Amino acid sequence: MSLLIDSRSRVAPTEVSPVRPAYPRGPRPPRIGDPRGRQALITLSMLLLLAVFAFRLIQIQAIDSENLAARALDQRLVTAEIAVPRADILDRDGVVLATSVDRYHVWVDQREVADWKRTLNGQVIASGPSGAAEILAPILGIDAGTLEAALTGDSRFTYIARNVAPETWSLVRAEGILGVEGEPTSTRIYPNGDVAGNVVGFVGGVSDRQGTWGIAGLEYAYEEDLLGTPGSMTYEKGGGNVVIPTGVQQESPAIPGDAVVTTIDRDLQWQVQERLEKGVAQTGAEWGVVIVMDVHTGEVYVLADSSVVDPNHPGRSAAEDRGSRAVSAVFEPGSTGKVITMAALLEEGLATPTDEYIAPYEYTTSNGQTFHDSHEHSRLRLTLTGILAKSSNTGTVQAGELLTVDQRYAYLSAFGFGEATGVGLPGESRGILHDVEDWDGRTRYTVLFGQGVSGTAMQMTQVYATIANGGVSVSPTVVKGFEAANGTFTPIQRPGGERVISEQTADELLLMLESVVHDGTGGAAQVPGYRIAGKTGTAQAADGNGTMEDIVASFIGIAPADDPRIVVSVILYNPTTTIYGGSAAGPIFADVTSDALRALGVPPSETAGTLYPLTWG
Amino acid sequence: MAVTTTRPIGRLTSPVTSYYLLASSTALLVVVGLAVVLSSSSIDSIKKEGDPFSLFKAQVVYLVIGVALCILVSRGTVAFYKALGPWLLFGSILTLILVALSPWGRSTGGNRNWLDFGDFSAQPSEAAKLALALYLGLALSHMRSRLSTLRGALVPAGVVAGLVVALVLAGGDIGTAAVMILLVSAAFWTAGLPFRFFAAGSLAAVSGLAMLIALRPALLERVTAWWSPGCDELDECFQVTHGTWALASGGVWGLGPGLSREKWSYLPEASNDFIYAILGEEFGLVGTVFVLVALAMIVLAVNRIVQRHRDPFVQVTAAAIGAWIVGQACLNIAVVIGLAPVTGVPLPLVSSGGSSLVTSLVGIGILLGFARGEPGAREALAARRVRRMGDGDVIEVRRGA
Repeated sequence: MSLLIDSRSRVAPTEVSPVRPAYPRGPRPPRIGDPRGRQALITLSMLLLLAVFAFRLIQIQAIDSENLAARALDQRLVTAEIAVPRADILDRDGVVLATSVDRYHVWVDQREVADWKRTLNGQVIASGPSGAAEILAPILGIDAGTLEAALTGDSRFTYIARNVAPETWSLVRAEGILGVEGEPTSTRIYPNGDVAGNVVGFVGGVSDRQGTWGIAGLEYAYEEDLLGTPGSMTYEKGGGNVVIPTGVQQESPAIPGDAVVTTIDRDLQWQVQERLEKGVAQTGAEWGVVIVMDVHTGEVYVLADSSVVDPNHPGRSAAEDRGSRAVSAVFEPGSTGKVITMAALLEEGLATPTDEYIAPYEYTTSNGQTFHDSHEHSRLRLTLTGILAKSSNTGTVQAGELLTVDQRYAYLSAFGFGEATGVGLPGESRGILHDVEDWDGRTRYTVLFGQGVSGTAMQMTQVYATIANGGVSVSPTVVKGFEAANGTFTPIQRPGGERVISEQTADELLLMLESVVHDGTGGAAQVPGYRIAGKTGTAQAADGNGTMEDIVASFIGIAPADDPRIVVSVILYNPTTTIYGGSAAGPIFADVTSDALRALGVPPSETAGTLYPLTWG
Repeated sequence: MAVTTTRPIGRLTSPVTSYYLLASSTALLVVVGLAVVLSSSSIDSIKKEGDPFSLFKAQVVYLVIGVALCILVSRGTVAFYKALGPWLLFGSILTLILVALSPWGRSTGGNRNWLDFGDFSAQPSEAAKLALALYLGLALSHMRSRLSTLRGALVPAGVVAGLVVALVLAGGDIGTAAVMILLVSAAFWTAGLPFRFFAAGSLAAVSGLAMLIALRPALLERVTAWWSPGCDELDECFQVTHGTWALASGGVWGLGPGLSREKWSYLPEASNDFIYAILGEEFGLVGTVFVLVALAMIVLAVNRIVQRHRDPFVQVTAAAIGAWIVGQACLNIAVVIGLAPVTGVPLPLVSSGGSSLVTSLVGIGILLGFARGEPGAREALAARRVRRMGDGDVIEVRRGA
């Protein structure tokens, strides 16, 4: 107390002395206190309070500091993914088929918008949700009333516009309205619309995870390559999700994905799609498929499906139109499959192209199975080439009878039936090739002319490519390779071809197939200036009720026959104007092949071939 | 008096100790305050005005005005302070009525305590604190001998103080009212009001508080939230939780000037009611204890003024100003360190806000004036000026004093 009360002041008398009671025995009247003593009490209690504060601060800032600070840091520390845009899908020349563009989701902190005001010369000219809505509505193209409702409330995070273009977002940001923020995002666009939509595929939401994912086509099949590896950034976030620049920051960079370079030729694909659409309409078919493939590399220049999906709006297509029937639809090849029987006969030395047969309208095999040709006719004196050119079932069965059942199976298998081609598209079917033990008495013979066995348009194309490639099998592909972000190109890994038939057999088959177009059922498939080898096909297919009422009309051809470059397959399902492959698919083949040869710069054939005779005697 | 210079606590007993205690602690608080105001307001300023310095620049202007007024007032005489009191009080009551009733009155955070004329706005309740301190000094020193009666205590001092507090309470500003009650209590206490009045007053205060809580249940919620252990960190305890986190993140040495994390739109009122938390985050325990030491220096200086002066006006006014500035600081700090429920009063001399800073500095100016009026102080200060000019030597000067 001596420190607080000045010792020298103590001797001085107080100005007001306590009033002494007049009557000693009465109640003591209130005493008026001495300011110095009283102040000393205030001083003491204040110093005591400050000491208590000091102890409390030591507790918070020294003793419990680590624990509390760790909790605080934990609240602020966030790890954000550094998104990397999905890589492009390109055509064979680098034309963009699918790409990602920057977009922004605009969101608001409604509580901050409520505090916002804009002043001009000290005058408030706009404030709060209504003022902000009036400014933003014309920029975002949203009705001001709707926008004001979205800006009003207590929410600290509400989207007001999604997938806004960067230039729109910069206009919004330039307004500087408190609480209006942009979240960078990315959207997938397909600049060519439905061109190759069946190959490229599309993206969308899936039920079991957030975000946008490949749903169909290459978008689905090569998702891992396209996505790349997102990076991450760990940082301390302030209110409103800003990065605190002075806080902890750790970043692991994102690795961009690889662009998928397809084998598709965008321009040719477009032309073919148009032609196919017209052809489907003219023939009244349910659907159609056209494939244009390089016979040496297996690269698919064109993979056209009718009613093709536009990846920008996949919802506008029926579910069954969103993929590619070229790899998913399975049908019996019919007469186009006869070429495998011919290949086996030639390769096994059981026949030559000029061997002579008599083809009746009706033929009964040794096990009592009877087969007919498509048109009633008298007994024809046909060579093996003639049988193929006229597409005689009886002739084919008669000649093929020389093959053992195992040989029939072996060649079908070697040409690719029963195994998916690995063209690179999801949902590819491997077709149906039953084991020999499961073949009944009739199936043993129907497989000789392409029935009792099923495949896809892609598998049939592969059969003809093998013949055109000198007898060595070709693996079809729609993917050429991958282009890394730094521009380096890595070709796709593909299995090497295997010899299926000898080169001589292949050459003989080509000549035989040329007769089909030159003199046989495939006359409509002729392309002026080029020698064409090919085969027509008409087969029954199971309809929705399981009965064999549906028709598959097809033409598969090789051009030019003298120096093969491409295989072109045209498949029409259930054409109504004609059921024959030659007349239904042939004209489409001719137009497509003509366009393709021109696009690829293939010179016209210079020499006419010396074809085998079709008849004898 | 030569003896003084040889004693170990010679400085403490020097006639000018109060003056220097006040001057140095005030300088320390305003300088640290300015640094923390710059840091803690920058993020909010960028967001609201687009300029990180907008609030800081205003604060510098207020500081210059405040320091100038502080120096000016510190040169005043006791007669001047006595004359100032009634006028200031009259003006304060008038402006408080304007706040309550005129269209210029404006509310922030639910409290109607601002007077807004567009370009210029102020909180009259801040100036009212100063006016009360001066007026109560005057009134109570006059009426001291009659303080043993209820009438003597109430007329005029008690009634006037009650009116001012009532006007502030009418605006809903509990924090400022609490500080004013502290100030008034300290004035009456130092003036020597008998104990029994305080006992009765406490009883009245408790029942008044009960009535207030009954009228405004939101108040009770604030208090119960603070007490309950399951207090929601995202809701009612958001501010206190983040305040504590800021202090803890600072640790002993602090994160460094400008490096606060909680100022990034976490801690509401970071540059105002919760500036002590940001100060603790950037300057650590060292910084927070420094502020406590500065406050203790003001307490000691006020005590010296009261002990060494004979004039009851000086004693009562000094005690009231001391209770106001240190009491308000304690209330503010208690909230930040979680020892009191949130009341919403700024930390005097440190927090942003012009009204508070300027009136606090004027209050300090009056205390400085009182310190200069301590026996022997004026002579010692004059002599030091002579010494600085190079005339004579230190010991001789002291002997002369």
